[in-house]
Amino acid sequence: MHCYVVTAHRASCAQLSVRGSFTGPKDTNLIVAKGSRLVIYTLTPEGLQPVLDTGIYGRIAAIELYTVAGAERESLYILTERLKFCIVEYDSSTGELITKAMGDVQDSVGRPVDGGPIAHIDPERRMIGFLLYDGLFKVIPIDTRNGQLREAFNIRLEELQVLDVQFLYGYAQPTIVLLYQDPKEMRHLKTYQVSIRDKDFIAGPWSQTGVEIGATMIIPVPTPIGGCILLGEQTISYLNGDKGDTKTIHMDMTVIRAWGKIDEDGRRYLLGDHLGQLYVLVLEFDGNKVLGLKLDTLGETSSAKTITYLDSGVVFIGSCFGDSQLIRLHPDKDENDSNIEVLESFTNLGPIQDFCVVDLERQGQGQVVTCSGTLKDGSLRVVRNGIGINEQAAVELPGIKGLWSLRESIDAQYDKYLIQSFVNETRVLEIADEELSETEIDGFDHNAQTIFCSNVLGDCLLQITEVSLRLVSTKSKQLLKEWFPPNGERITVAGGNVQQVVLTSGKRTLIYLDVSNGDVTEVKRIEMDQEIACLNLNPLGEKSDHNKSDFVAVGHWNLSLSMLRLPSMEVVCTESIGGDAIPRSLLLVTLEGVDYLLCALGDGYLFTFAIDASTAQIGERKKISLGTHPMILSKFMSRGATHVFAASDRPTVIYSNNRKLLFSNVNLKEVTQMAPFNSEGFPDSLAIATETSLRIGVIDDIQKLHIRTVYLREQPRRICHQESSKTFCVATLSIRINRDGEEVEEQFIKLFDDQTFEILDTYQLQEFENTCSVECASFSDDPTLYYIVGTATAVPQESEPKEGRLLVFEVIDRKLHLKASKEIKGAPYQIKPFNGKLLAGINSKIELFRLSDSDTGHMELVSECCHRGHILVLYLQTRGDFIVAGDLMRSISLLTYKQVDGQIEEIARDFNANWMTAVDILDDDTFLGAEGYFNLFTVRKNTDATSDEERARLEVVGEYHLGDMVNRFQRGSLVLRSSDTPTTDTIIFGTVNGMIGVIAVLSKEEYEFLLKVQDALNFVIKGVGGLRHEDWRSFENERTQGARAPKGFIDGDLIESFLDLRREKMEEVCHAIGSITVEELSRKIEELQRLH
Amino acid sequence: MSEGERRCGVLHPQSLQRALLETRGKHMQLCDDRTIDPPFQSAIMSMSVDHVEDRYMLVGYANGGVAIIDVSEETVKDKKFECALRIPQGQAHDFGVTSLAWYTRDTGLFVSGGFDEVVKIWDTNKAEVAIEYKTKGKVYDIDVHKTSTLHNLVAAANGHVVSLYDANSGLRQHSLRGHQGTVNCVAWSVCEQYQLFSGGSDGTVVRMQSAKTFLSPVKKRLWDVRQGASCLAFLSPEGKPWTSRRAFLALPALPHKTCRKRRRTEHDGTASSSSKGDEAALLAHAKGVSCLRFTPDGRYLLSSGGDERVRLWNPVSCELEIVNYGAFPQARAAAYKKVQFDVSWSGKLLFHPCQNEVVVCDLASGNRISRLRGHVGTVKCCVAKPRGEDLFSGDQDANILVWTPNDRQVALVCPAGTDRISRFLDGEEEVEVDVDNWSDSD
Repeated sequence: MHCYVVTAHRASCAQLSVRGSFTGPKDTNLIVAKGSRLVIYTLTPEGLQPVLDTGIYGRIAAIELYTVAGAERESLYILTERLKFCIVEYDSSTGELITKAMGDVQDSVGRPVDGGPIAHIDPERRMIGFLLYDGLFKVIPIDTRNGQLREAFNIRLEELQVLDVQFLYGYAQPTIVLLYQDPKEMRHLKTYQVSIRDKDFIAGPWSQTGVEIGATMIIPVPTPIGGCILLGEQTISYLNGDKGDTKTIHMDMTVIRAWGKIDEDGRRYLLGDHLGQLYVLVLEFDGNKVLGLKLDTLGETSSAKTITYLDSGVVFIGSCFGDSQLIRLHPDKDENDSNIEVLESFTNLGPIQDFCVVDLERQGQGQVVTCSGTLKDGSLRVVRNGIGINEQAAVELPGIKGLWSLRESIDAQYDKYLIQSFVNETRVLEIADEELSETEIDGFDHNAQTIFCSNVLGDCLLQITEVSLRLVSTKSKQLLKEWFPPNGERITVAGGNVQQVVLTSGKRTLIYLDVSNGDVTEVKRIEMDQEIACLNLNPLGEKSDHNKSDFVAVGHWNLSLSMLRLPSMEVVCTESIGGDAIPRSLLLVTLEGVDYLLCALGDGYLFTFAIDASTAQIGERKKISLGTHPMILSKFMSRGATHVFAASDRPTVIYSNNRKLLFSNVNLKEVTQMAPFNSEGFPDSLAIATETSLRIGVIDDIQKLHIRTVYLREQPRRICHQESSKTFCVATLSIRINRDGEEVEEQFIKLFDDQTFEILDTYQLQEFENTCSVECASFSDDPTLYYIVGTATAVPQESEPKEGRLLVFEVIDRKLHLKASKEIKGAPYQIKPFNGKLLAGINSKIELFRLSDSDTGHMELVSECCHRGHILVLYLQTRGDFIVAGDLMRSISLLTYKQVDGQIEEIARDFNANWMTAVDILDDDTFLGAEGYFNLFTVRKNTDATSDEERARLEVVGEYHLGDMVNRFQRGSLVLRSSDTPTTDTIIFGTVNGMIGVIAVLSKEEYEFLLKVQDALNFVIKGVGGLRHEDWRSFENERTQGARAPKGFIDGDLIESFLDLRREKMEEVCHAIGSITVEELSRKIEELQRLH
Repeated sequence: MSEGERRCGVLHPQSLQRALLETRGKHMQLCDDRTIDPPFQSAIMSMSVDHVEDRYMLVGYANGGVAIIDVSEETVKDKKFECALRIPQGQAHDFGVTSLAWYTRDTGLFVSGGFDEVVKIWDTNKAEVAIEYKTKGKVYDIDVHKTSTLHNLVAAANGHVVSLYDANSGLRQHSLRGHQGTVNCVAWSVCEQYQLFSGGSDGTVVRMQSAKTFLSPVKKRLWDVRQGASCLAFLSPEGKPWTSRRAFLALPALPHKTCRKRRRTEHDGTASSSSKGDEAALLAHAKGVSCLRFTPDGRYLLSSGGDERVRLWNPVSCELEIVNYGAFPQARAAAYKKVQFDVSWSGKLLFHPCQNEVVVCDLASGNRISRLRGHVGTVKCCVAKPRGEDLFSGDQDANILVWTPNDRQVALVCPAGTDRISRFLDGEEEVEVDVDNWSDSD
């Protein structure tokens, strides 16, 4: 079983950030580390401009900017969690990172430090100090003359439990201060001086025993003040052993998670706590010593993980628990008593604690709804594939019924006019120097609704209203010719191109006019049998805008289409479309050299017909649902390719890729009309009309994810969707400060409407009750769907929570009604519907329940059987009668429910001691697991093994290091599936760092081919800092002896990076693979890209 | 510490996992899923589990037999660990097998040494001896360097010396002198390539190292392997370690039998701290050192001795760490007094046999955590799986018992995101750790 793993949405939790001059000596850069990605910004007056966004082959543990002796810009030092480090510089000519040094600081023995490695560079740049293993301080001396790194050595630290270590400023020898905890759980500060020559510590200048038990972080204070600040939960102290006095202030109990220095001389610092409060700490320094500390609240931001002060009051708040923000601090408080103005917000999906895949718009395209964020930064995020429109101008203008763009002349490069048609009038907007102003074209009828409008050959503008057809000179704007339909009939439907016009007069008369030479000539007129609903005569073929069309496509009210040859107007063929919706819009278009007739129906469905350009025969058809309202189709060019815009309540862009039609949502609520509008002021733009407004914007790259955020101000923990009631059931947690100033935790079950996300109902859980799992299930003999919530009671004083509950809710009239409640002895970590019953993983056993009517007439959950033998059953997945259980530390086991005797029996187990974080089932024999050291693995059942022991063992067939902790797997797809895309079932996963990824199954041939591609890419693309892809993706945890090479998985991100390479590099890669061209490989990879 | 915190990224998964393993290690009990049928009926003298796969355990018996037991969970059959290989007495050794060690890189090779004055290097797959060395004295202990990349030396404590054998060339490299009596135990340093420690019946623990020499005047012996020179530093409870060849040479060479007694009276207090006059205080252990073990990260060295005490040393500075483990009284009448103890994989727990129990202590503080009862006979050795949670103990009646953490006491996981440690019981009784379980085979 081979898998393809690819990122759909990159990790968005900002864990580390630094400021410096990295891209140039005068630039102010902000560098943010997000998991294994490095994002470099430049600070400009307009805000943060992204410069580079690159992946690193490792989870970034520490970054620091420093100036190597004599260099004009700073170098960036990066340390990964696997203890490889590198020093990189920015090359402004290529825009890439160059590796200056790299190394490995791993030791063969030693217990890695709890909480991750710490690395700092001495302020005088004499050495790099690391805390990697318990009881050891590693030093890499730096040669101060040329910045070369010398050989590393370890110094034994007597203190085993070190919480933080920092370099102190202003000492002749490199001096560190560390905060450690002794075996009696008291915390102390101690300093050491490092003697590089002796490779040992010398006693430091001072120490402080017995600091606050909740002390967590040290802030080193630069000279001239010197010393350090110790941050605790209730106190903040300034210590500087040399100068004697320690200054302490008290504060309300809180957990400070991040700090940032404001001034270079270290007088002021910003502190962020776990509830998002931002404080400023000021050191009162009189030039000689610190007189005191002052702490002030500034306001609220997202709960910060890293704070970096940029410039003139602008601060970057990097968050792992909510959106990262760019804020400006104002000296005065505003009406909310806050000094903070949020300038920009960076969407962060992490941590994704749970998610579900739903089809909210019932269109066949999956959307992911995630439980993101913690505490007050909690939100539900609706993620779906969509194209963005970068809006550049918008005006309130309701009631637009038609939209066209016109040019000064037929050959002009840019559009000049935008014609909007309303019920009883037509308005013209003219663009001049980026300004749109209303104008009038004399020859046009401004008091009627325009049905069609276009530039035509012969340097004229064409306007067709209900009453007449007008030709207007483009130069003089005067009316040249007006043509009226016979018998004073009204023109109902009209269509045309630069040479021809076909319109209806009355209901059935179809008139073909030639308008190509400044005059209107009626060429042919016929009476059709059926009433005409719509028509189109867009010329087929690439670059055919100025051609004539040989055909006109006509849609009829009797649900059929006809193709008529021009100029004879003979019916070449007719096609019945069936159904009961009338064709509302037709478009003849050529995409990627293939001719299509697109037909949009009144109920939001689209037909695509293959058309033969010479014979006009309507060929193969496909039907796809795009919206629920009638659609208008129009053509536009984007980045040199033809696309079709389907304007409806779910606007979609239709384009062709690899000879297949693809559909991508646009992230606009609804669009009624669209016209391409390529003007000097707005190049490559589209003019879009909605019910209430007119917007002009540039269309984004296709296939980006669109995220809608529903802020909750509390932490969503579990989510489940119920199609029948159109609701979401979300378990939330919120912290409230009660009268005594204590934090009180409350948990709720909330019911949300699945379209508006308004809260319909709330059920509050009891004190100390925690939700473990929420699922939607129905039971046998009962067609009702219920929400089942599993909770556990964890009382803080008692060390032995004994209880939990299973709550069964039914949604009646959009409210939660508790139908049954079952007390259980333990925490139901995972519940799952199972063949008409309910399966629950309760502590160390798996128990099966059925819902039955008890004697009293109420419903009751009755336990049927259970299976023991686990440590803690945290995750369950089911398929038929099979159950896959993910244990806390005993990896995956496969069980089955035996109908015969109603017992659950274990079939096989994986004997590796993996700490599971999520499980899923790939197929009947293969299972997927994610474990606590950020790895993925697959196991397989040995059905054809000979001995019982072998059958009882699940064999590991795939191992891969993802680099992030997966919380949940769900089947589903983010991409619209039309009837012809092969249904490769994909699995979506969400991680703690906010990454959404997709796993798809590959066949053996595909896998082997992609392995070759991977190898060739690794050969050509060098990782940043000399880090290697093979090392990054190798499987490693505390039990493996060293890292094992990945197997059974293909890194989709690496494969897709091929498409971003320069041409020469692409050719190198193809050359390395052999016997494949760049085009072929690009096509294969683009097809893979469509998985997400 | 909670699963909820791990799930939202507040707690690093590694911290949670480590904390759980530590708590589990404190609640060990007799395992009923996995037992071992004794391969031989003879007192167990030594046990060793391989570090490569965490899978095979070597057991050495007093009658000279060697057995290899597959202790991997995957291959449990009928709730028993299987015996993969039995090498009976006569074929293995003629007299007691005092020590066994696996080769560091793979399980294709292991070394054994015994009272029959032979060190044997075995080819596991063929179950044959590849090389055999005759020693000049009973072999009390052997050790193979766990992390060395530069040499494959096997150190054997035999007679009065530590002999080094090179498995590559098949030759005996050096003999290192430095002990007054017999050398009872030997342990290669974990972090240093050429450093090893040895403990003898003279009560001294000695260290060999190539580079540093210590100047402070306490008895300490350092062996420099490459120079073949004598002892370089003594470890002593009082003050700093001490090295002086002069002092060593000045000490009279004592015959083996009387070494213990004479030691006390004739020991020349050249150490400056001997002003107290109590020479016994200068010895690592009063009645001889019987077993040496390093913690897995190489940070500490533990020694246990005939005085029924365990001491914790800093192998870099050779100083004693002041931790009181209490007394581990052993069976008085035992002829062979050596008891093999072990340290857990996390380096936080000490497992030491104590008569018919195994005592679990916290390594850092010396506090007793629990007593594992289940043996009837005297427990002679115990060994912990290098990367697992199982503990194996062997006794004088040939029984091997398996101990694992009590799964029902997983101290853990409150589902929500707050700082609490709670324990979940699924409503059933705890199994009493102190329940006396008679072993199956008799």
